[in-house]
Amino acid sequence: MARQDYLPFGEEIPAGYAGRSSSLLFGASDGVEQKFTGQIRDSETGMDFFPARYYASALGRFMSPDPANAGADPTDPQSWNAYAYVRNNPLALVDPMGLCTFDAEGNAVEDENGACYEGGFGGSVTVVAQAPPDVMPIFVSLPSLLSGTQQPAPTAPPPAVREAGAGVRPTETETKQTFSQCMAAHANGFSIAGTINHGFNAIFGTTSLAFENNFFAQAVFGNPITTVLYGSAIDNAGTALSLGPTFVQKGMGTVTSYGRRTTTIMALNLVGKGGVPLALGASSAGTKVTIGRVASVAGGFMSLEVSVAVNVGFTAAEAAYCASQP
Amino acid sequence: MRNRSQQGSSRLAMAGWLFLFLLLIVVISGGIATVLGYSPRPRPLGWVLFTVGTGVAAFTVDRWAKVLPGIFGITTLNGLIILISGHALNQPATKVPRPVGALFTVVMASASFITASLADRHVTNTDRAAYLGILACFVAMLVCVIASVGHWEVPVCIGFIASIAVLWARRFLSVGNHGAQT
Repeated sequence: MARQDYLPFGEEIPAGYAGRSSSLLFGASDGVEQKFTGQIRDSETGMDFFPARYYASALGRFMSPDPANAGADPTDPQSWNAYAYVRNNPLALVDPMGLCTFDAEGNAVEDENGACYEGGFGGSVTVVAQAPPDVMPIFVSLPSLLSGTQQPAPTAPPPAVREAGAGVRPTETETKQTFSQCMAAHANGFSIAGTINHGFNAIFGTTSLAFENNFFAQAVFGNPITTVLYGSAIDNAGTALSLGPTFVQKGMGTVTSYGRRTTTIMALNLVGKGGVPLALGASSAGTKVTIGRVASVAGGFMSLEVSVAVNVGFTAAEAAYCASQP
Repeated sequence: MRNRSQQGSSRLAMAGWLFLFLLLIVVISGGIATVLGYSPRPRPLGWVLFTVGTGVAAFTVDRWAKVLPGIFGITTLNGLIILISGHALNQPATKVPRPVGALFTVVMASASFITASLADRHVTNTDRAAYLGILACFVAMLVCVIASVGHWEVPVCIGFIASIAVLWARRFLSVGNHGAQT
């Protein structure tokens, strides 16, 4: 038995926050797949399987557009984003099928066209596929708009929807994790933090994965190599696009300007004082001390070399694990 | 200058000390967790593990302290990733303010530099206490997270920074009074 709490958009609140102790069964594993709003959560990708489409709670968005555009209304901006979850109002609304939004009393929201079944939560989703042709399609191809004669045909529901809401899971080929997704999903586990956590659990009979997923633990004992290569790919890409050029520009500017200045000063000093040998000879004691200190620091950093090697090993092990997944 | 076989064995030894350091964290924190009743194991076992782990840690400080620069070096890299991405490592939902990320990175880089510069020096009793303080912070972090103890971050961070400050003072005073002892 386990207990879970969720943030409004479905992210599970881990054990250890605001009194959610493992003694209250938070963070425990009970093998139950049903998570946020009772939908099945894929343990590998972290996505929720709503019968019509997958939902990423970390993003607060569906991973595919509204299959039938049933909720789209030109006068209602909240309905324009076909990936949005419950009109971005998860505190008041639910979407049991991934197709239509319902309020707490089970009434379909903004459903003047009758596309959503009026029965609310228990409605059959086959009705959704019969959206009337006057519903404005948001995702319509350019040629069909230009021709002006074509009536937009209702989009065929996905296979899972055709099963009349039976909750049939898409086939493995549709849900298979890519290698990169696998690497990102297991980045926390294949690290020193993950090893400490699993070692602790194995030796002392606990089940919590809180240490593996804790901010500080990951910051200190996390694996930066996997993180840079695969971790949070979408987020990293967005960050790189938005911040990368600025960081690079600032960094390059600083290095270049200071580098030139230092080089120039050194060159002038050396020319004026007789060159490198004289400069070194005049301050041999200081030079020895400096070299000795640099050697000391370099010797200490040999452990960095070992730490990097350990993390490379973790990355290789994770790669082997992900490559072996069917 | 050392030859390749000596360097290889030195790296192997370093890997061993790294393993010992991580094992000490697990054993000591596991002992504490068991004593406090967070593990199904018998409490006397917890006391034994805690005592043995602490004793071995104190006895081998000069060994496992050599891996701290590497751990803090990796942590500095992680801090840079956190600083740039603005969220916890591999956890986009856990936002980290940039000043916090910057402070974390600076503290860890400083810790790495200070421990590296002391790596080849004789370990005094002051150093020993500071290194054990660092180990204690890691142990406290693991115990608090596993046992779901709240609000542990600030005391542990203060303890960590205090331990690093002691090492920094030791290095500063040593250089000021006696010069480098490499």
